[in-house]
Amino acid sequence: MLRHWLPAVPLSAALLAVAACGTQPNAPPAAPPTAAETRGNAESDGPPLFEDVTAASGVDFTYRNGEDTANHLAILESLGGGVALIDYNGDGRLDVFLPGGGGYDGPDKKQIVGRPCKLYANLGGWKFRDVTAEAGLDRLAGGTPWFYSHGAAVGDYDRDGRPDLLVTGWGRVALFRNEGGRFADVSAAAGLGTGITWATSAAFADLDADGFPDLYVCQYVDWSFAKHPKCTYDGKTPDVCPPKNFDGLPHKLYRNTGKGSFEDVGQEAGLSPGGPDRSKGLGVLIADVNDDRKPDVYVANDTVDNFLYVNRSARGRLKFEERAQASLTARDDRGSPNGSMGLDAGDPERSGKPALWVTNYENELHALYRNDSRPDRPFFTFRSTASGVAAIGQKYVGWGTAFVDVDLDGWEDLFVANGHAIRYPTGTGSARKQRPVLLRNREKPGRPEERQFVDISARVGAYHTAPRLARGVAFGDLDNDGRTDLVISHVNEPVAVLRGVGGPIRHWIGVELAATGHADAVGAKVAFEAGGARQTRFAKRGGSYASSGDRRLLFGLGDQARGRLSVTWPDGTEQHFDGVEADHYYRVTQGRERPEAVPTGGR
Amino acid sequence: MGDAGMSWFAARLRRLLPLAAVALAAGLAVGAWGAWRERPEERLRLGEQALAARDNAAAREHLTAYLAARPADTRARLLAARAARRLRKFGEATADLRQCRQGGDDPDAIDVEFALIGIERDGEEPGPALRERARAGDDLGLAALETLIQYDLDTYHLYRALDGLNFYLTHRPDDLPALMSRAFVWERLLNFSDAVVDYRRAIASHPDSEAARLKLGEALLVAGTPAEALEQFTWLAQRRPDHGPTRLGLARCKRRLSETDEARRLLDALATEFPGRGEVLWERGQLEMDDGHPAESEGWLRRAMTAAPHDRRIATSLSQCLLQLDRRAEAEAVRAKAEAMGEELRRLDEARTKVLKQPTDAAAWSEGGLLFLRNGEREEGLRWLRRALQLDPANEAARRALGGADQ
Repeated sequence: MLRHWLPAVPLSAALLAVAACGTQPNAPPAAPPTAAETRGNAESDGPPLFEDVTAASGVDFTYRNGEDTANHLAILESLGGGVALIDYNGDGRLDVFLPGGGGYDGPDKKQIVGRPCKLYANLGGWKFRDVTAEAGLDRLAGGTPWFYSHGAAVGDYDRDGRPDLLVTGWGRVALFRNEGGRFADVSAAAGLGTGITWATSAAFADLDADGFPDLYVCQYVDWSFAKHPKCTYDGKTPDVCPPKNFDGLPHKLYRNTGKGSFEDVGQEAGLSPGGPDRSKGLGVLIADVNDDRKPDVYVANDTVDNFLYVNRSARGRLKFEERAQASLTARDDRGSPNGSMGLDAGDPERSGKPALWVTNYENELHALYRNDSRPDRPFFTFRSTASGVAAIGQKYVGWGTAFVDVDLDGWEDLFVANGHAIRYPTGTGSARKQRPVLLRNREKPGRPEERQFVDISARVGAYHTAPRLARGVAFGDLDNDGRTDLVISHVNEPVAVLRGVGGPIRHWIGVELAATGHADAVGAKVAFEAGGARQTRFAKRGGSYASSGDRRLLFGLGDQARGRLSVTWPDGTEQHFDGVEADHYYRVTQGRERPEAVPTGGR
Repeated sequence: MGDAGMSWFAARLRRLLPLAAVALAAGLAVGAWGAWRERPEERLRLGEQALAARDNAAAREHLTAYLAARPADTRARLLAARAARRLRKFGEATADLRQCRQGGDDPDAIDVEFALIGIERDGEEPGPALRERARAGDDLGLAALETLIQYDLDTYHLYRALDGLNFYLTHRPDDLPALMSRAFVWERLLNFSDAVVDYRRAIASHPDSEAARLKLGEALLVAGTPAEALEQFTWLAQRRPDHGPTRLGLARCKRRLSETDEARRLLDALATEFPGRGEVLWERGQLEMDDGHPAESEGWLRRAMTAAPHDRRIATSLSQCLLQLDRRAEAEAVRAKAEAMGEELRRLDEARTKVLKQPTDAAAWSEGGLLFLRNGEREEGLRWLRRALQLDPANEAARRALGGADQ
């Protein structure tokens, strides 16, 4: 009987697979997790691992995407913003920078305008104060108002020991030099005043071993109001167009000249050109993935192949080889490119090699790529199903993310902030807003030698009780207590500040790397051995989505109160320190005999 | 023997009498039921009921019996014509309608039924008047809408079909075929979450529908969680423990839930019973990859590729497996095949998208048909090519391909 009405068009699984990757369908869940969703997951009943401290913190800011000013349903509105953690005044406490987004103005509301960004100084005791104007971040150079912004990156581009700030957005980026608690917009002088169409995520790292951090900037798609088609997902409701409708833009690679400026070397360095089916960049991570001590660049692209740029640079000359296809990090295990947004590198299996983690669009699995590389051959294995990640289903549109040991048990867990990209998703309990996901890294039942992620999202705490339209997340220890805190940017909803409270009786150690002459240390590897176990962390930049987190490297130690700390610097030199006491931050200065406990400016 | 014989007979009769009475009563009841059922009015009622339930064969049987007794009932004849049309017995339907016309009743309904025959038999483009009539919301309108929806589905006017299904379901919110069809459209539009909603609604109103359960389970594996999907497949497995797609669904859920041993047990049994099913063999090969055994995976994936030579996912997995085994040249050769398949599928998706946007684009239908044929979807390929020729009889590519396929 059902033949009557059922169409003749077959559901070709193979066709569906290719079609699904080329479009942005819709529909996430907003309903609370069902019994089926939390099946086999008694761990989610434990105490909260985060406390939402936003209300009393003084951080009161909302990223705006412009949909309140005009109903254009532009793809520009779908990206949202990130967060940067930056100790701008050198007081030992991470401060919070928040891009403001933008809107539309003019007679036809097609003039794209920015909204001010914010800088909150961390006063300690979970109190923050708006210092935007006094820090010189209320305007751009010459009093120019802010542009439509998305992300932020932190790096000491001039090696003066003070972290500088780069802000990305539509039409341009802005570089702010930290002049000791006050910023100056030096974009034009640094050679970054032009050449950008639409910048999303960015990251600084010394890619050519000259000590000066170079700069990678993701660009998204070639959209403007001159290229603004109408789109729908149900045949009648207008909505934001998928990236498939636009050409991808070439990404930017800027070499730091060491003289206060950058030069655009993307093309000669081997970066992929743009085009209809490539280079729609949303997230970037810089880390040494093949253990040759040269930082590599991994890029999350939306609906097209991700990039893995393996670093083949020589001093003063940037050169990359794109190896994502060959290393199996371009696509998922079915050969489909995903709608990738956020990413990170970590060591969830304690292999000593950085696994790659990518958050993807709905109807796709988030991707966990185990690192099976050798120095001559970067190579990864897709582990989303085997690792238990697949059990969360394919309901989420994932953005900001990171490996983070939320309970200090010595095993890195995973946090993902979620929220839909389109305006009117429909479907099962559907809404634009989605809950975050927290996956705990635990021993696999019945196979003690293996690890498995299990969904403990409810233990995010109060923040988890309501669905959100989240985007970028910055991960860092805002109160220097050894627990990672989160600052989460949402679209058109206030920023949330979550204090990490997991593992209250467990030990930890934090490491800050100081390379010679304030040189950039990305690519370094730090290991901590205690109780017969060895954990590894990687000096990396970028990651998450459009955000910049704590540069310090944190180790959860469980009940181990001391251990051996080892650092391998990008130049190959190694340092080892025995008997390092837990529950402190240490600054490891390259070549210095002992690590020094860092005064953290109080909590 | 005398009294003794009588006594024995009487005693036996006494024992048998109650049974005989029950049998007699039952016989009478069956006879009465049969006679009552054979009453023309009851036949008409049963025919109407079957027609509403789209049990068209039963409807036709009852209505034919009724019309044998009441040949002048033009309303019943119209219903008989509808049943015959739905059974694609267009000659019979036309004859019934002609008789209705002679009876002179309800010319609107007769015109609509003739128009529906034109669409279903001859592939005629539905006119605006019929489309407007179908929106009246009465029984005749909804009957017309069913044909229009089917036409729109078959000709890839998916948005128009969706619109029709939305209207239909406002009048018959629990209609199983309508809910299933709308879910099917959502899947074509790659909106699996809405498909899940409709499959859930279908199950809520038709809890015994195994088809809806199966589709829901499969859709939840795309847009839900494996634990949610497992509930549906478990329900089905209790009803049909030997059903292959159900067992495959269970295995897929178990694998995604890291219940590896149970997934392996299910897949091993399936692979033995269905050694030619690429999907089963691929899933089994992937399980070995999950466990870090690429050498064991290779055999399964090679068998899968033989069974489903056009499936890009299988080729991709085999290529990845060979790379893990560090057999790079072989991996590259398989990857190139997978890429070629991917390119074909990308072009197929382009054709599909073109047809979705412009369903009268004969060139797109033709291109899609050729690609379906090349990718092992013969029936669908032929259907697309025929549609291309219907839209443009001069489409040489479609004509040549159809000629070749016939040979």
